[in-house]
Amino acid sequence: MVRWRDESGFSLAELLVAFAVLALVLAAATTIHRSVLQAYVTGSNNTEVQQNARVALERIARDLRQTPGALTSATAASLTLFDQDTGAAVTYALTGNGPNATLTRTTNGVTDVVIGKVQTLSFAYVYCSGCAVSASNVRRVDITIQTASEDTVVAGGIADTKAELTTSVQLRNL
Amino acid sequence: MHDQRLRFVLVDQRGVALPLALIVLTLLTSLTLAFLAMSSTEPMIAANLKGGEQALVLAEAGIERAIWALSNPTVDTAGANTKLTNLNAIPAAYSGQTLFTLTAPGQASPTGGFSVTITGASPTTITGHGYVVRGGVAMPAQPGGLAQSDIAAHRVIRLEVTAGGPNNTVGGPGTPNDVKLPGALTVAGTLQMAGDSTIDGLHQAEGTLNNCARKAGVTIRDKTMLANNTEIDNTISCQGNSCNNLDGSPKQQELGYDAFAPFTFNTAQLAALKALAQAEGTYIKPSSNSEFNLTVVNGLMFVDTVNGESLGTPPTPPDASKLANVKITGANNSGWLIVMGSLKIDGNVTYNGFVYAHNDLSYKGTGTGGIYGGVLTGNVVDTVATVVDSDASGNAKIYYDCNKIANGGGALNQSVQDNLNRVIVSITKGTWREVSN
Repeated sequence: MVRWRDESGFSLAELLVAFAVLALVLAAATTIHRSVLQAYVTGSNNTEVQQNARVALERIARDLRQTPGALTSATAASLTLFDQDTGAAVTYALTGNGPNATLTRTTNGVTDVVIGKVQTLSFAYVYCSGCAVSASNVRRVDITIQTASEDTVVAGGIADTKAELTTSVQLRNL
Repeated sequence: MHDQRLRFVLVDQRGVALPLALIVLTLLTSLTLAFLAMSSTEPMIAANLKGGEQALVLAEAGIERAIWALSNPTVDTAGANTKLTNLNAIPAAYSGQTLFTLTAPGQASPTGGFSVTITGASPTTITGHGYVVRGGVAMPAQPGGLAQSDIAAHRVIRLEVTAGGPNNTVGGPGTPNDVKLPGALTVAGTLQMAGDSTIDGLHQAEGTLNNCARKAGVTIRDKTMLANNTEIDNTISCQGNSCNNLDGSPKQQELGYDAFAPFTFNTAQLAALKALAQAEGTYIKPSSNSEFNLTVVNGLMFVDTVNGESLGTPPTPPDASKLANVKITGANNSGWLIVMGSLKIDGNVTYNGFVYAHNDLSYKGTGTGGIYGGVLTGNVVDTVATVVDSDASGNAKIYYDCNKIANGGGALNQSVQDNLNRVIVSITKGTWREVSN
């Protein structure tokens, strides 16, 4: 009975002190959590944008490497090659504008999205020696792609991560 | 009382710290784990990408190896008994049964290796498998010995080539290993012999029989198709002693297009001969089509077209103004003499080996000189026929000696002969592909 009577509650002062201490501890924990979370988001977005860029480059490079015929169109923004399996023309280009453009692969009138959130895509060409500057004389293609995270909401925000990758592909069948 | 309550506060306020610590710990642990997962998969993705690229170039190395082996069918390119002379019986090394291992410089264990499979005679398909193995894995002798768990990456490339074929070596009809020339003088057009000229398919020198398989005197192609799609008949004519001096078995023969085809050089062969002469330092490029005196040297001599210009693609007849116009007034040399145009021999010339004129030959001999080996003319522009003549004071002589054709009268070293024996392998466009596996 003595115990019950003694545990009748905390004084206001006690509560205030307890809350103050708790607030301090939580504030510290939240700060740590927030910075750790930021680091995580940045890291995972970095992974994501690099992965996207790699997938896109690999896809284009593989098609280019084994195109059975010369390119029929070769501009800085798009190119048209032939599919090794179907023989049909395949065009890689960006659809849409600005930071929300998607990289698309169009063949037989069907357009597939390869990856989204492409910032820039550019093709540079090397022609056979002594040949005219024409799509049919392209022998090497340098592809540069810049991707951004799908998470990007605010430019410059914590989720605004970009990756730029470049590769060179020799056209093996020409 | 007061003291007692304070004691309770101090002693009993112990339930908050633990849950709080647990909550914070859980949050931090989950984030740490996510980080760990990400940081462990990321290098794996990068390693896979690197392995894939390495496997691709290894597979391409296999393709290159096969093309090299196909180009050198007279050489064992992968140990004993690995000659690719018969494309219907491919040795194990090129049947995907051998794993060629590659170790990067400075590395203790191999990066990987490749195997290659050659199938079919015409066309020939080459499949190259590139393998990248995990660190420290010992490479087995055969690809079948690689456990799936040892392979970090594996990619496959396939393409078709044209190899083989009876007339596909760099040396063409004069290929050292297989001299195909039918006899002493072979002409893709009309031939006129006059004076005291001698053409002999039976003898390698006056009074000495040769040991060649074929012994014709003169061989011509019976017809020539002109640019305007009209066909003309080619003839052999002789005057005076040249008729009596013609010897061979047969003395003279006319062949149709198909039968004559093995005695011509195609564009790829001429390009290979040119490259060979350039490497040997015996390449000459005229700057105009006016006649010039050639100083003959020993070895494989290649006199190119004017400024080395392309003659276009057969069967379109070449522009006559691009053809070289060579005159030899005196020489005593050995080797192969390739002239991308017309050749005029006028004087005391002794040559041991093989003479080829892409267009016409006009041969007027004086003194004691002669050609010991074989002569072939292409007559690519059919204006003047091949003329073998002699003036009253001397005589032109061609004695057939297949051995001197093979070794250029002794002036072609083994390396040049090996190069002449090389098969020209051409990749069929559009057949290079990555095969999914």
